[in-house]
Parts: sequence; C-alpha cells; structure tokens
Amino acid sequence: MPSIPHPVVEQIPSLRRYARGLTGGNAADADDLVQDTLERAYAKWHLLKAGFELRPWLFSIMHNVFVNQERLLKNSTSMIPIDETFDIGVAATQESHVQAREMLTAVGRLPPDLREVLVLVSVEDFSYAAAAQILGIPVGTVMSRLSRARVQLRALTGHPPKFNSLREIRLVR
Amino acid sequence: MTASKDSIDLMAFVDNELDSHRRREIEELALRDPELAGSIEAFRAQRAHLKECLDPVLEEPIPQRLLSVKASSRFPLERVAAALAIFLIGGGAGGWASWQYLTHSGAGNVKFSAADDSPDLPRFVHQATVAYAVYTPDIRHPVELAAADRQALESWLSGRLGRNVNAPDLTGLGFSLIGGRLLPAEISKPAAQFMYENLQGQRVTVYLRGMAQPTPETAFRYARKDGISTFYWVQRNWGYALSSELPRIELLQVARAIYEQLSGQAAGRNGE
Repeated sequence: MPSIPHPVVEQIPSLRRYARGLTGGNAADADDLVQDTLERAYAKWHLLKAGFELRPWLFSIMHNVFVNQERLLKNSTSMIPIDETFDIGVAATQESHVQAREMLTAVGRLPPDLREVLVLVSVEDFSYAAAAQILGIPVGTVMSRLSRARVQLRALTGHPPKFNSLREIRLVR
Repeated sequence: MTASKDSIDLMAFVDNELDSHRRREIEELALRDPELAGSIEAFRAQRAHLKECLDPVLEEPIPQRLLSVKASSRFPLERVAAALAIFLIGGGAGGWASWQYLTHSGAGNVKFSAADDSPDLPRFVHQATVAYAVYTPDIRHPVELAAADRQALESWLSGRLGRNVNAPDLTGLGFSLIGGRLLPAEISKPAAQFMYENLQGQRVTVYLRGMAQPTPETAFRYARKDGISTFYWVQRNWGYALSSELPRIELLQVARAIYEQLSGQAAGRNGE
C-alpha cells in the first residue's frame, strides 16, 4: 500500500457530510452512497485528464449514484422509523441534537432534486455555477430549485410563510 | 412549480451571488421593509443552521469500510476493462471473433455504420429505447407481470411472439428480474420487454421482437440517445436490445450474458 494517501481520501469527510444531508441524517445510507461514489471514482481515476478539478468531479459522481439509488430509496425510507436512522455528530449537545434532528429530517422530506441543490450550496459552499455543473442542469434551474427548497424547508421546520414584502414569493406546494 | 424572480433574488442575496447593483437595491429595500429584512435574516439563519447541523460529520472518524474501498472494490472496472481489451484485441474464441464493438459518440443520435441495413433496424432500436424510457422510471407498475409469475410471463410472451421466450438469468451480474410485458411494435410483430434491477436500483431492459423484414445478422452494436445506452444485435431475423443508463462497459458485460442465453433459445424454437 502506498504511504501517501490518495487525493480522493482527503475529500471523504466532505463527501460524507453531503451524503448525510442527502439522506436526511441517515448515516448508514449516507456512507453507502459515499462507498459507491468512491468505487466509481477509483475505477475512473485513470481516465481523468490533467487540470481537472477533483472536488466537483467527486460530487458529480455522487450525484449520479444518488439519482440511480433514489428510485430504490424512495420505496423504503418512508417506512423506516426516524429514531433508528438518525445519526448526527457526537459532539452535539442534547438541545442542539434535537434541533439538528428536526432540521435534517425536514431536509430528508424535500424532493431529492431540491435536497441536492440545497446542500451543495448551503453546506458545501459551491457557487450556483459550480452546482449547475455538478448536477448537469442550467444555473437558472439551480436558482429556482434552491428557492423552492428553502421555502419548503421553512414550512417543514414549522415556520409559516410570510412574504408580503416580496409579493411574488409564495409557498410552492 | 417555478420560483419567482424575487424569491430567486432573495436567495441569491443570501448566498452572496448577486451583482453589486441588485445587491444594493435589495439592501435599500430591506432598510425600509422590516418584513423583507426578517425574511433575509430567516433564510440566512436557515443556511447557517443547516451547515451547523452537518458540520459535525467532518469530525467523525472515517469508517474503515470507506478507507479500504480501493483495495476491495466491489466493481473492479479497471480489471474488467483490461480483460475486455485483451478479449477484443485477441479476437476472443469462436463466435465472439466476429463481433464488433462500435461506438457512436456524435450528437447522441442513433447512427448506423452499414448502408445495407434493414430499414426496420433503426425503428427497432428506437422502440426499444422508448420502451426503456417509459417503463423503467415507474415505481408502482414497471412491468405487466411480475417475476413471481415468471412461468406465466414466459409462456404468455412465447405464445404472443411465436417463439420460445425465456427471461435471461442475470443474477450472476447482480441483476434480478422484476418482470416483463408485451409491447406493440409492428403489426403481427409484437415485442417483449424484460426488466431487471440491481441492488443500487439501476435498471436494465431486454427487448426483443421479430424483425419486420428479412434483416441480415449484425455485429454487436451500440447506440446512445438521451443518456440511454443500448446494445443491440440481430440474429436469425430476431432483434435484441439491451438498454440502460449504466456505463457502457458495465452494460457490455450484461449484453454478453444475454447474447449467450438468448441465442441458445432462438436455436430451439417451439414451432407454434
């Protein structure tokens, strides 16, 4: 085994964080997603050209894995009790733990395509343009999904919408 | 289901993605409008909170199974690719020697390399691809008869297609049969579709029907349209197509398995 870690390894924590968001806090499902992503990444490693950007590439692989798995997950996640699936970092205090659980459970209830955009931009700090490239969609679609994601998330976490000052903003159902 | 321009601008403001002009406009609006200021604050807080909820993951120890992925890859594509290259260069054994591995990158359109193809062949590939696109995303009714009724499915399709039809067994490649259906194609030439799924939920379909005109046997061919890859071939005037969104090299493995199984069936027609 080589003593210098593969460059992909450095990205694993961030991939795990993103995956945890995509699965609404389910650690086991999230790590499955990461594992499949890593397998594909290593298999395709030799195909990469010089000068490519590692991070967006890995996230785009995870996007493809996620999209493929989503059909299967769609059938099963709603039946798993939340208590058994939720798993967030150990450092969380009791109160913030409860809040984090609520938040991630709500994220997990968003449609998958909204979840991806929301976490890529809000947590992984990708620009709209980078997120568009990762997901293979136009920037306008990123913006529109992000807006819907946040408005829906707000409703899911118990905040009624009130957007009187920007009249066109409505809760999209 | 689209979001309004203002709502999008509000998010872009929160994410610091606005040009300075529009940014100042919104800042000024917010100064006069406490409710807008409240919305901005709420979405900023939501963004920050979401990050706080997920950041602890960065501090967790990385599970060993993720660190050892490379050594124990469940999908050793590199090795498959290497084996395949040897196979193609070396010409393989027996019937494999005549197979060509054609690719069409182009503009994603189905193209054909030989001028003497039957006019039915492009239609056949199109029908197979459309059938894949229509039925595989379906969660509740992807198939007409499920794999539990495999015998009924096979004898029904055999009767309608006028030949012995068995669903290929792809379990060795990780794909289990979901079921199948009868599909309209040409008058007196209906088609059969079998659908399979692997553990990741990736689906492949096997589509077959009799060709409408006498069609020369083809090499193993590949077409790609709208992200859907199809390997297809004609044997004894029957067309076979394997469609999926899997990477081509993974799909080729599946195609090989099907070729071996289905061509065996074609040899033993039931003469109905």
